[in-house]
Amino acid sequence: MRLLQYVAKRLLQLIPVLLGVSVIIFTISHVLPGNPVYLFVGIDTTPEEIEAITKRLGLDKPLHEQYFIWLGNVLRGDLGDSWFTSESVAQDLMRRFPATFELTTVALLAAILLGVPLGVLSAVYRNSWIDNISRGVTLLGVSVPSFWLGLLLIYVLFFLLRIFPPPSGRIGLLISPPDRITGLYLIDSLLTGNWKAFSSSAQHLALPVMTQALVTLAPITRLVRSSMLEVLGSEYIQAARANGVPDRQIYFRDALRNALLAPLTFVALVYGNLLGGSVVIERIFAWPGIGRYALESIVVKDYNAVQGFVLLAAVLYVLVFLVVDILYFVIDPRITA
Amino acid sequence: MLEAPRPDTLLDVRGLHTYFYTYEGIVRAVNSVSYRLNRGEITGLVGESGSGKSVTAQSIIQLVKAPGKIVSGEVWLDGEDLMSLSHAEMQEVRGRKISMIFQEPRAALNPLFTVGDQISRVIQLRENCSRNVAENHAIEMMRAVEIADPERRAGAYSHELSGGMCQRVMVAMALSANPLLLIADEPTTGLDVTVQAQVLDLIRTRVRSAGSACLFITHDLGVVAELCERVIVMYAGRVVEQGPVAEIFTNPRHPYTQGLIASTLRVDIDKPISTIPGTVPDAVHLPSGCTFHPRCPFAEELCRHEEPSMVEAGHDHSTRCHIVSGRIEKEMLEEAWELEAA
Repeated sequence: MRLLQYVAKRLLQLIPVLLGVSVIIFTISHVLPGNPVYLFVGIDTTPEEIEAITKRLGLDKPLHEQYFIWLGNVLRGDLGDSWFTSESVAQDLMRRFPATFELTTVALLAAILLGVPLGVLSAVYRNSWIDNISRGVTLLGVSVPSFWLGLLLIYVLFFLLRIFPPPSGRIGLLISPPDRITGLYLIDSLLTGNWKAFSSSAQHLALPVMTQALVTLAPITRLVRSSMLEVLGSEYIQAARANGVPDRQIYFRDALRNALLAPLTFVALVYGNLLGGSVVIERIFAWPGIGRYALESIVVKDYNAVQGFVLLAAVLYVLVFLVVDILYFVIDPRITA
Repeated sequence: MLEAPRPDTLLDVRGLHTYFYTYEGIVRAVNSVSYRLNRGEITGLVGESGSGKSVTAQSIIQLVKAPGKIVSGEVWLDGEDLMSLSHAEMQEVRGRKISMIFQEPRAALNPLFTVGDQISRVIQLRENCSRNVAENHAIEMMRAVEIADPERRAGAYSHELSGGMCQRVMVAMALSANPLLLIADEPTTGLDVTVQAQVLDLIRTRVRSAGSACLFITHDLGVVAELCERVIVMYAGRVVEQGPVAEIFTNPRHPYTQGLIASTLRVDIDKPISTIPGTVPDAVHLPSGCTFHPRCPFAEELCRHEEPSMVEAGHDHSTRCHIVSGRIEKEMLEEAWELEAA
């Protein structure tokens, strides 16, 4: 009941945030120098024709009126057409987003599943061999840029050792993707029992996931370690020990829950960022996600597409933080509605 | 020179040394500390901050925080040397034979679990009983420490309770074990005076009725006078005087104890409060000889060079002072403190 109330309140709070986001996106794209009409016309177009096109695009109306027309369209799911792919931007994004979502989510889960235990172990066995190994791995993850790591993994694991397939996108070139249900190849192929597609897409995911996960894992591990050390030194852990609580329970029940509070915000930040697409990784692995789409749209000045992408990225960011806020509310009783 | 433990001795600490290995050097936080606690008695452990009181307690339950280490010593509890126990065996002692109450009750409770949950888990761990039984027992314990409406309070988190209420919860948790030894590390420091009295009363009643012993760490001599049977005075990691409360308060022999007592506020005598000059010495570079000599109004040449050993100063009363032992022939006059203060 308390939770429902909180969720409802947070959802209501989203409305002004998203309206603000829409105003900013709209304003920025409309005060940018350059007249989009010129993208449609040739050198011999007469001023009358230009005026006609301006009128047809609604660009002669006052700015606020244009905003409301645009907002109305957005609310109906119409983000305009891409001038480059000449398809609806909404459809373009919907087609590409699952690729980004799948890569990012699997990579983040891997980073959490490895990083949290590694952080806990490095804190519990501080300055032991395991702490030193984790320090090495995280140092590598923090200091090595992802494009270099990605290329290195491709070189070693594909080119030299032939363990993983070439960086040719989400699935083998000769294998047809599973029937679209969610757009996530792993899920769709499982649902349709298409094992060939499942194994191929899992193999294609491996390298980009490794690249992304290692880069994300490093700060998670360090954060969990320092947060865990702080909690382990706290009075209530000393008190639990004095009451005879065994070490294992101290670490995984009393301490861990407290120690995860701080890294949770960081994870949200990273996830929110990555859902907007990782341009570098998507490019290196020919991954058809929204990061690449955004980059290509920017290069060809495809305003509608860029606008749509920024809007999607902002909404995703806000949603991730909504989920994290709800998680905090569930975990930490000190947070009140 | 140690006598054989008497039959009513519950805890016998012998030659305990706990050092902290810091970058600046070795801190001898607990330096050759020996004392005994009797069953059914509350023993006050007093001294200024940094005198090694809390580390003594942490050493007994072997929960000294890094970089501290117990270097040597024996801790006999009910005929068993705790220092010879393994890590796992010691875990069985904590929360069963020995319980502890902390200075900051709210900080000592986990913020993410309800207080009822925390008490019943400790019970469940110990009794190996079902969750339900443990929860009922927890509520009983909360009622026993006079928490009103324990069923509802059990579902509260530490941030929802007052400091006094949190301390009652800690007391309930500690006493649920019926421990042989209860260690209370300044349990009333952060509480209102009225709540303080209630918590003290609670500890006294439970310790007396259970026939356990209590080590009560405090810097409040008033509390010691009211609550304790015996008192141990620590200075710079050493026990400088110990004995029955009545004896120590009427006839303090060590200059430091005299100074402590003289510096407590008394409403019945119209006299300015005197203070002990100087501060607790730097723990890494302790003064030579008697560690108290730089602050002692009676110090002589011998005190600067030779450390005094523990000597009898009366019945069941011992102290560490060259004047008491007779090595220095000198009268310790009370006026010396006022002169010093002026």
